[in-house]
Amino acid sequence: MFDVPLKQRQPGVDWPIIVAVLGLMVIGALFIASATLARDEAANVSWFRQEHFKQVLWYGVGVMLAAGACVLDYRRLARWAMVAYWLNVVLLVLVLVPHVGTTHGWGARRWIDFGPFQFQPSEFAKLAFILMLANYLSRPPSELQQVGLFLKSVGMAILPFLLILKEPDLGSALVFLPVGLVMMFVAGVPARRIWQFLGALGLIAALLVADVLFAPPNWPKPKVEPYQRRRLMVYFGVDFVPPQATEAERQRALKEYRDASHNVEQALISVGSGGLTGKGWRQGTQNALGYLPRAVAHNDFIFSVIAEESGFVGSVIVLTLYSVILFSGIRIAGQARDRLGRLLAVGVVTLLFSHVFINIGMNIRLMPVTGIPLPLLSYGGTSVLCSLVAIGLLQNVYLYRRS
Amino acid sequence: MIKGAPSRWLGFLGILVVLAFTGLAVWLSQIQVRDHGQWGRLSLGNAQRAIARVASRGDILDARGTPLAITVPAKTVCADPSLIYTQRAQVARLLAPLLQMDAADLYQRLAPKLRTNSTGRLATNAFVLLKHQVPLDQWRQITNAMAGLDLGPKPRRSDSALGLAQNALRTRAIFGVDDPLRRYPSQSLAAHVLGFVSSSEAQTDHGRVYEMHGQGGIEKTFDKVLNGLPGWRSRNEDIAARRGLNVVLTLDAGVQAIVEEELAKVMARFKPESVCAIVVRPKTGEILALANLPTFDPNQPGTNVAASFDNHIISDAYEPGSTFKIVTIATALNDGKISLGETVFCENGYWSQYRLRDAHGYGTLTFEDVVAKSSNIGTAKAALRLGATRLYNTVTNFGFGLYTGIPLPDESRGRIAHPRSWDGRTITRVPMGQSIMTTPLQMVMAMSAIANGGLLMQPLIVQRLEDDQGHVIRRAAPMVLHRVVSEPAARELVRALKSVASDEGTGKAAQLDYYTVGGKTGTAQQTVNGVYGPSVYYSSFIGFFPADNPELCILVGVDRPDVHIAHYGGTVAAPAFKAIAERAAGYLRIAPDLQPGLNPETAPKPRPEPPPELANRRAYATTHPPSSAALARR
Repeated sequence: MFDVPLKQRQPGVDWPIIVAVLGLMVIGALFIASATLARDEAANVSWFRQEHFKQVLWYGVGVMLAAGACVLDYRRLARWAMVAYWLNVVLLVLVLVPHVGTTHGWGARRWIDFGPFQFQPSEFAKLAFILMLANYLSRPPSELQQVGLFLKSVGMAILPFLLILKEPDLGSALVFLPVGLVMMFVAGVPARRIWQFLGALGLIAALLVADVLFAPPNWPKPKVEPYQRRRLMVYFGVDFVPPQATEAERQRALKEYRDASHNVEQALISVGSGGLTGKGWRQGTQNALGYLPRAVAHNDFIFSVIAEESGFVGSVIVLTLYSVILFSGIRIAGQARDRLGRLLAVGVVTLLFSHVFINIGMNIRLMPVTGIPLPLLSYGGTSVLCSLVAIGLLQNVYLYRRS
Repeated sequence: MIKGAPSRWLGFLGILVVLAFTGLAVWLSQIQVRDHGQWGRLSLGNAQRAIARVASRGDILDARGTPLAITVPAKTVCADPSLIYTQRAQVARLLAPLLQMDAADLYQRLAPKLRTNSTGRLATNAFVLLKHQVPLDQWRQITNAMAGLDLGPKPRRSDSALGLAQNALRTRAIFGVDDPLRRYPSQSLAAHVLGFVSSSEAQTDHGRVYEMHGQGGIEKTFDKVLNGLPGWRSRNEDIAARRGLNVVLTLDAGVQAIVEEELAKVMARFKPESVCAIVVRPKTGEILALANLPTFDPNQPGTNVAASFDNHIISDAYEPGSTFKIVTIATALNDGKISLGETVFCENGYWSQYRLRDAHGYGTLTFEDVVAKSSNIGTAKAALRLGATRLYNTVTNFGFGLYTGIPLPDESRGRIAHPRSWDGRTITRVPMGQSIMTTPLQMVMAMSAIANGGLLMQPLIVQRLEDDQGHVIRRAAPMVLHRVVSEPAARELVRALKSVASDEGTGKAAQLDYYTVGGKTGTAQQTVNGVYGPSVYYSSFIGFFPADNPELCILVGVDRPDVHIAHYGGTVAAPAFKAIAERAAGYLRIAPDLQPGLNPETAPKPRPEPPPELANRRAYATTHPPSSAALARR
């Protein structure tokens, strides 16, 4: 395989991906407008400060970055993997430092403030991790059998995982696991080892969830934020009422439960009330009247807005566009010239897939609520840039595919 | 080497994506297509959730259109701590004087309370109640003060984050919820007729509103009528609230004020437990004034002692005493059992057969003098000629022992025992107003019936209901209940009652300079624990004038006057009757039936002017002009 001449660029880009991405960007801009124009204060905000306009700007910047990511051969880019990875680790540490990281006024410390815009390092860390791991695993197959290599690969995932967990952002942290594991499978790391690791992980997770949900109060507990615990309880349908509670305590606990499940409930009402063809753009009552909470309607819960206003048809269109991207990504992985390209493509596909599945899943109560954005549709600069750079990497692998 | 195992994994990845997306699509089809009906209904319920709009409570007006109870728009002042945040101290200092609250307390209330909401984000509470029923002018001061809040240098752009936050703080951080306020412009005037209201949060079909509910008087009996219907505002509907109707009383605020002033003098002079008076037009049954002292201020019902809420005129039954003699005498005259000129032996003050005593011993009296001197024995002899059954029937016929049906809460119907349970002496006791309990309202209506030629009228306190444009919705016309005695018998009795208010009668203090007065005094011993107390009296006078063409019938009742000062109805209540009658006659411009100068002892005096307070009330009435209907009626 090393006989193949380098820098041999094949003609043409992968058009299905580009069409699907453009489609998603149009949908994203339209429904972010729908979600944000419903606010009372929207009338006071000048047009160039509206969220949908800013999102379009981010799309523009993202497309340029993606084009940039295609210019250089991915093998050249991969040489910088180490730098990118450690730089991101530093950023993840910085974001935890008070005064550097900002909470956005929302509890968790996930952003770094750059004056006019904020930057969420955990998003870029995912890309850097993919680059790093792909680079690391693209070595002779004999070395892949070593235990040390396996442990090092796991370590590469664990470091950002822990830092992001500390923010806290459990959802983003958990995404590292499927991405890392799928890449290892595809690279050829012995499957038996990965299964054992997965089994152990699953057992620990099950014990932790059971402990959080059902353990008596005096048991040692893993340190989870109260909101995380409530979300889990809502997801598993466990109410908050402690045993031997007085009536007053019971009522308070039930009220807490209703507050906590309100979001999920209203999102489900939004999606379900959309019906087959939806209520029409900007006609969604759940969205317009604020039953779908305004703080999340345009980002984490944008899918509920789309599903309410464009119905089952719209939901399926969105799913179809994503599957076009994902299957093209898998095809590109198959066409890749070498294992580095293949791993990059697989990493990107897994990352996008995890985001799409978790986000849509939490909109329809298949998944617990986490702060995972829907790629390209959710409002947010960092998420848009990362998604587009990831698409750019896919195109890069496609450009340098096997002839 | 690249082939083989790795592409197998790629295949697995593809299958995983297919399965997952198929799962999502199937789940979505379940929610969006199969269960669409259920979720659609929930969403519709959300969308149609409406905001209730409170209806303004109707006014209570007197017969001339003077507002006695009005509703003024007011606000419950609330704050959104999430918008105030750092400006908490400044806002607290600014609002404390405007809300008459302590700045430190306000600062505490404005403190944001953090909680984590369901999305895991910290949220601040957006609602805290600061004060109920803040009048509108005060509310305007508050909004002006908030709009002018000094927040330091202006941000360069008004739509920057800081600019928006400042704008929100100035305009939305303090907000008001409609919570109308009930005002009684004349304070305690006619308090027992009006009653008062309490405000509470009520659940309507479209959300919660602050609603007022009457807790006494007209406010209570006409609560529903006054309250109107709340409206609502939702996404596609805006239904205005329907204002409550105005209740127009037969009461005349001027007469009412005169009565309350004169009763205050009686309170000061004779130190009774309580005193009450009622003024009625005998020909129609309209009540022009109804007053009790002590009273209360319905603007601040919470600050009064409980006793002052008692409306003795309709809720308290007394043994009426000698005023009740008119029933027996009128019936005996009607049945031809006696005539006024006929003489009767009054046992020289003590009739041992019935153990009956007169206040002064009399020998032989005409029945006219029996009335004028209020002889118990003479009246008892008339009653014996009637017999127990006839006496009982006529007492009931006059309305005693029955509700009058006046639309005020807590009416008592008094008590009259059936002759079956009478002992041998009861037939001599009932005629003089013992062994029977009557309310002052029943007594004044009975006297009015005599004055009105024997026709018993339905007492009227509400003359009509009208909407805010003055359109009459319902009108209560004067209503004759039935005839109690024949017209000649009533005329005869009036002649006797005129002699009561003569120099020889018990009610000589009730004589008026310009009008002939018919009336009757009453001095009833009250029972304490079932025994007649030695110094516990209910002293009253009921009179009407001009006697042969009666315009007003007035009852003054004094409960337990201080016996060391006086206790006879003729001494305690009759002068108050005279004072009320003179002033009310001047105020209402009743044509005199006595020529001044014909009675040489009383020199003509200038007509009494309306009291000064009344001038103020009239000024109030002109700034709030009476409705067109009220004017048309005048």
